[in-house]
Amino acid sequence: MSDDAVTEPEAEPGEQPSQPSPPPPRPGRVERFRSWHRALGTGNRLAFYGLVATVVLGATPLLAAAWNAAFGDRVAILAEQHNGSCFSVWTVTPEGAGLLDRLVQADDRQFTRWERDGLLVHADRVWADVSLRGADEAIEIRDISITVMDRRDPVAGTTFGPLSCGGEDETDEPDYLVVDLDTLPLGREVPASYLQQSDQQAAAREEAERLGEGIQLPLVVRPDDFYSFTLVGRTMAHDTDWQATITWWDGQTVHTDVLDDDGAPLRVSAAG
Amino acid sequence: MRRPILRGRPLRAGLAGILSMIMVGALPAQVTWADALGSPEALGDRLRFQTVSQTLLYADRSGWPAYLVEALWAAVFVGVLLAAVWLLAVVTADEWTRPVVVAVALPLFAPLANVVALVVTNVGDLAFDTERGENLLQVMADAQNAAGHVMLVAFAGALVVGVVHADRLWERGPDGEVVVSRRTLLLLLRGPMDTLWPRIGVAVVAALAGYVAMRVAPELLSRGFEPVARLWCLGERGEAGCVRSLVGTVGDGPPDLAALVLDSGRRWFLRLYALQVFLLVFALAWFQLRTQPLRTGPATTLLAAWLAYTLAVVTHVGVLDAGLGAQDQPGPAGVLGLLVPPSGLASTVFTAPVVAAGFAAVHAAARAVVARRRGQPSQPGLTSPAS
Repeated sequence: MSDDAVTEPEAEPGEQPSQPSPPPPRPGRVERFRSWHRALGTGNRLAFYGLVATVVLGATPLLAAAWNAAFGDRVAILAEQHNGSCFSVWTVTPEGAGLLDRLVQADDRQFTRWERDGLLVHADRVWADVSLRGADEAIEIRDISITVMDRRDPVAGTTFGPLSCGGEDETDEPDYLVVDLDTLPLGREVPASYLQQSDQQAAAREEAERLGEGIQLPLVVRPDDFYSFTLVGRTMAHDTDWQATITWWDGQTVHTDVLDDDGAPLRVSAAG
Repeated sequence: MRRPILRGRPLRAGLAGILSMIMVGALPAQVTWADALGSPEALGDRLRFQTVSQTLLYADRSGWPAYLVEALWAAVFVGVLLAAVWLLAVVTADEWTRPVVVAVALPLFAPLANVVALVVTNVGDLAFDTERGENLLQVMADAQNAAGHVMLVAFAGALVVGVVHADRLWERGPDGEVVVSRRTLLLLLRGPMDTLWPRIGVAVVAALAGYVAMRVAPELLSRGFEPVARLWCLGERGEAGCVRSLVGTVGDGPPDLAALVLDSGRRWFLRLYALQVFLLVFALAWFQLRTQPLRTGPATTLLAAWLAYTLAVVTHVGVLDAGLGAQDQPGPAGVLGLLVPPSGLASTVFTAPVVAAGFAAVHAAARAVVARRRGQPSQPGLTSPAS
């Protein structure tokens, strides 16, 4: 086969095939696919498109991972509320009373679902892990402000937890931001500088020091590094909806991101 | 004459069974029941727990968003499962035998189809989240835990396929003779007498190879998956831990007796019992499937190995669990307790396809070598007898 290229120019002008009717050339791949596709019934055609979509969607995560490996990630901020029985104390509402016996074995995702359905609510404290992944440039966290969005009477119910399962949740940067929500004004953003100085937040700051270290702002996250801290909201007297806003600078622009429970405000109610 | 709706259409029959089972599993009452139950203890509870949709039960939302995700999951699961099963049935069997292949392959392929469906429904978390490693680990653990449920769902499909074609048992041929008589049934189970001993021999050799595969496949799979895990966890916080847990989950094998049973004599006997059960189940399943009038290509080997390996691992782990005292109830209740849900299934989700593919690859290679020796290219349909 390797001498094809040499013989080709000689064969071109002279010899024509002498057979009377050469078989028609086999259609190309694209043409064959087209005629196959044309012959499909509606149901099979839909099924084929479904499978193609599945393959594309299924391959997306791996492509995204490869993309990140090749070109690096952008800055990513993730706030995740602690939902589970190990650390959290819950108030189980009368509607959720049927769940009381089985909370010990429940999956964290079930806790999340039950909380969204109002069967239980975080009691006294709600914890959220905030993790931040740096990109190619260093970034500076300038402020973390707290907004109390709504305040109601505390939820009545039975208190459950924590089980102190142990072992989990070892972070090498044990920074905490603890906030007493009861004294903050309603519907107004309160900056970290106030939280770090106010007398009314002294007890909260003490708790942060007891748990680990109080967060010190501003704070620089080096390129391609991680930073995480735990955000704790406390209430003694109300059922409170609240969220935090993080302000950071990447050397060019100032960005703000909301830290909440997957789109809904963080919620904590004083234990009955 | 109009063609019947389900008879002679195994795919449609399977779809009907699977969809009804998915709907039963997704009923709000089922999820509420499972929520309030926790981890099931009694046998009936455990059986019912396997019917509850695991995607709805372990969802972090309820209501229509959850059902939307469930519908997407069901569409992908059913689509991938039926496509794979149909492809295999067309390659391995003629029209008459196809329902048998569909019924066998549906439950076998279900756990892998579930992996694909879970990846697609979690595509956002897997592709764009900061905790990709943890999310993939969760998907893989979910796929292992839900293996029993999705197999049951697919088994409902297989059952409908079986019931729809059950009248074959008293069907009469064109000459008025009953097609399935005691004699032909024996032939169906045993195969022709003159090839009986070679077929038994092959089944035993396959069973031994299957046992070796069970010992080495988890390790091989871990090694093969490691580069993917490395790529996946790149830039992740705790990169080494992320790679380790992903690789460990993919290469999940049967329990390690050395760590669980300290008494060496007891350990030796337990291993022996478990080995015997593995070989027996593997050989029987292999023999039975190869006796069916299927084409003798690598695709049939894939199906036979997948079936035999899955059954053998499940019973093998069942014996180990029994030896470790996982069930203290005597009699049938205890045996059922070991198998509902089958704890060995989790380790077959990723290893069974790989072992089956290995068997098929060996078959294909052997066939290519034989074909080359005879001096003709290997062509399916020419070198393998059509059934």
